[in-house]
Amino acid sequence: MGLQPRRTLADGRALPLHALPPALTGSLLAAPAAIFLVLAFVVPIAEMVGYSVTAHVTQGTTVGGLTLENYARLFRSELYWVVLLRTLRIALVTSLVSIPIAYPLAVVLARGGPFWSRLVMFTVISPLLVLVVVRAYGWKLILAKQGFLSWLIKGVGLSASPPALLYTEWAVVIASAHVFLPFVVLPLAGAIGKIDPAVEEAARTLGAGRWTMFRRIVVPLSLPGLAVGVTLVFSLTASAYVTPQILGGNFAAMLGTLVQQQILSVNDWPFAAALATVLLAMTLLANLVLLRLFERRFGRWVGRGGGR
Amino acid sequence: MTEVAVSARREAVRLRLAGLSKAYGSSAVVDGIDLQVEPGQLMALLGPSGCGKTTTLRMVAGLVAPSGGDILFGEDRVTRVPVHHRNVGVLFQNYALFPHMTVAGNVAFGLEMRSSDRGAIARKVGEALDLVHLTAFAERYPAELSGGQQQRVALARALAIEPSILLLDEPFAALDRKLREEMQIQIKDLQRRVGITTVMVTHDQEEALTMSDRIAVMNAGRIEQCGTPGDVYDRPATVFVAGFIGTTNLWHGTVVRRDGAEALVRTSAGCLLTVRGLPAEAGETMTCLRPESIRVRPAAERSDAAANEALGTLDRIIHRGSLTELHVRLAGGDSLIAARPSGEGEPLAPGQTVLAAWSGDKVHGLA
Repeated sequence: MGLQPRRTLADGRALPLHALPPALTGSLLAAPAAIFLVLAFVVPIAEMVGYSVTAHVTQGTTVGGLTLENYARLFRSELYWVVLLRTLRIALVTSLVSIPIAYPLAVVLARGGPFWSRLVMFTVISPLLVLVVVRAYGWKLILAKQGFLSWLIKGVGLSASPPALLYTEWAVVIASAHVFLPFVVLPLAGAIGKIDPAVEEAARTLGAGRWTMFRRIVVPLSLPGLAVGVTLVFSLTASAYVTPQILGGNFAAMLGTLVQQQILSVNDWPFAAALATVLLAMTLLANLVLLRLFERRFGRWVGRGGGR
Repeated sequence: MTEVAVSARREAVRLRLAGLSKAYGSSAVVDGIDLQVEPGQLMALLGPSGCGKTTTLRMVAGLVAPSGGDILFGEDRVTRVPVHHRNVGVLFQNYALFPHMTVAGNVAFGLEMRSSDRGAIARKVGEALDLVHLTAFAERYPAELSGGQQQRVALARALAIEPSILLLDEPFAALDRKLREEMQIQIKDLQRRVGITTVMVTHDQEEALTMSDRIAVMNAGRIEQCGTPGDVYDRPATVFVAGFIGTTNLWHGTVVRRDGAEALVRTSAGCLLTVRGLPAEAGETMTCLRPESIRVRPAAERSDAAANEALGTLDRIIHRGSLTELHVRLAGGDSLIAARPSGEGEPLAPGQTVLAAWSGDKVHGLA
C-alpha cells in the first residue's frame, strides 16, 4: 500500500543497497543518526552520570573517588525534594491541561476542511516560531499583577483584586502548555486521522450521539497518539529552563534552574550532574510506565492476532 | 435454531422514498427518485459508480441530509430524524467494526445506547451471535478474525438493535470470489429468516440478480427501471438497463411491416427480426437479444438468411467457464455475440461462415 522506497541514486543508477538483505539495509539507513546520537548524546550522558558518582564538593574543593554523597545530599535536604516534586507536578499538570485543549484542535486538524485544518495547524505551530525569551516575556506582561489578565478580569467585573499568576506554578503551566501544545496536537491528529470514518458512522447509526461517539470511539482509538503527545509534553516541560526561570522565578523554581545555579553560581558540577541524572531518570521512568501501560492495554486490537 | 427470537422481532416496515434528491451546489447526485420497498423484501440499488446509489443509501441511513423529498419508514416520516435516532442497521463496505472492542463488545454497542439492562443486553448479544454462528468468537478482537467472520460480526451488530431497515453498502466488495458467493447466500438466507426490509447497494449485477427480490437500476441520479430480477434481465425498460445488465446484442432498426402484435424490424445492417409488443405508433425501435437465445451453426458460404437469422463469419471464441461466447461479424456490418454451454453444440472454428438463428419471441424491443 505505502510507497515503495526508491532504491536509485539521483543519476538513476541502482543503489547497491538493493542487493543487501533487508535487515542490513535497515541498519545501514539508521546508522548515520544512530552514530550521531551515540557521540552527541549517549556518551555525554554517560559521562554526566559517571561524574555524579565519582566526585563531590566539600567546602569549595572537589574531592575525587567513587561516592554516593551527591545523591545522599539531594535526599537529605528538603529544598531539593520540594523542587524535584514541583518539577514533576508542573510537568504532570501541564500534560493533563493540554489534553482537553488538544483534542478539539486535533479533531479539526484531522477531520476539518482544508481551510480550518490549515488555520489550526498555523495557530498551534505559531508559538514555536517565536523566540522562547520573547514568548516568556509576553506571558509575563499578560500574567503580571498589573497585567492584561488582571485588567480584563477587573474590567469584566469577575473580581476586584484578582490573584497574581506570575511567579506561581500556574504561570509556568500556562506558558508551557501554550508552547508544547503542538507536541500533543500533532500526534493526536495523526491518530484521529487514521480512524476509519466509517467506524465513526457505524457508531452513529447504532445510536450514539456525537459526544458518546467521541468518548467511546474516537478517544480510545486515539490513545496511542495521545500517549506519544503526553510523554513529549511531560519530558519537555520537566526539562525546560527558560520558561520556568522567567515566569516561575524563585517561587516556582524547577530542577533546570537548580542545575543552572549549581553550575554557574555554586560551581558544584558533580552535584549538578546528580540533579540532572535524577531528572533524566524520573522522566524516563514516567515515559516507560505510560507507554508500557498503553502497550499492554492495546496490544491486542492493533492486529497482531492470527486468523487473517 | 433462533426462530423464537426472530419471530419476536418487530413487524417489517415498508420503506418509501418520495422525490428524494441530493444536490451538491448545482449538480444533482440524486435527482428526485421515487421508490418503494415492500415489507421484508430485499431491494438492490444497482448502477455504475457515480450513479447516486450510495448517496441514496446514506440518505436513508441519515448520514447524508437530503436536499429535497421524503423518506418514510412505514407511516413515519423520518427525513429529519437524526442518524442516531433513526434505528437503521447498516452493514458497511469494510464492516467498520470497532477495533478496540471484542466481538461481543461490538454487538453490544448499539444495545448499550438503548438500554442499561446488562442482563437483557447480554442475552441479545448471545442471540445475535448465535444467528451468525459466532458464539465461540465472542471474546475475540476483530483483527483476530477472517474477512467472512468480520462481516458476520458486522451483520450481527447491525441486526442486534432490531432496526426498522437493514442497509447493505457494497457488502461483498472486500471478499474474494468464493467467499463472496457463500456470504451472498448466507446473508440472503438470514435476511429472509429475520424478515427485515433491506436495501442493498451494489455495482455487481450478478450480485443483484442473485440476492434481490427487486432491483432498481440507477443511472445519473435517476431510477431507470425498477422490477424483479427477471423483469430487468428479460424486459429491460431502457437502452441503459439493457446494456448494463448482462451482455446483450443491441441493434437499432425500423419497422418495415406489422402483422397484428408482431412487427418485422430491419436493422441498419439489413438484418430482419420479429418483435412482439411494440407500441402501434412506433416506427423505430432498439432491439435487444440475449446471447444465450442465439444458436450458431456452420453454414454454406452462399446460404440465405430469413427473418430471425443472420449470416456471418465467426470472429472469436471465448471460454467463460460454464458458457462459451461466440463473436460473429455479420455480413451487413453489425456484430453479434452468442453464447452456448461450454462443450455443447457443433464444433466451430474462427473464420468459419456461420448462421446465427433465434426464436422471434426472444427479441425484446425498446420503443
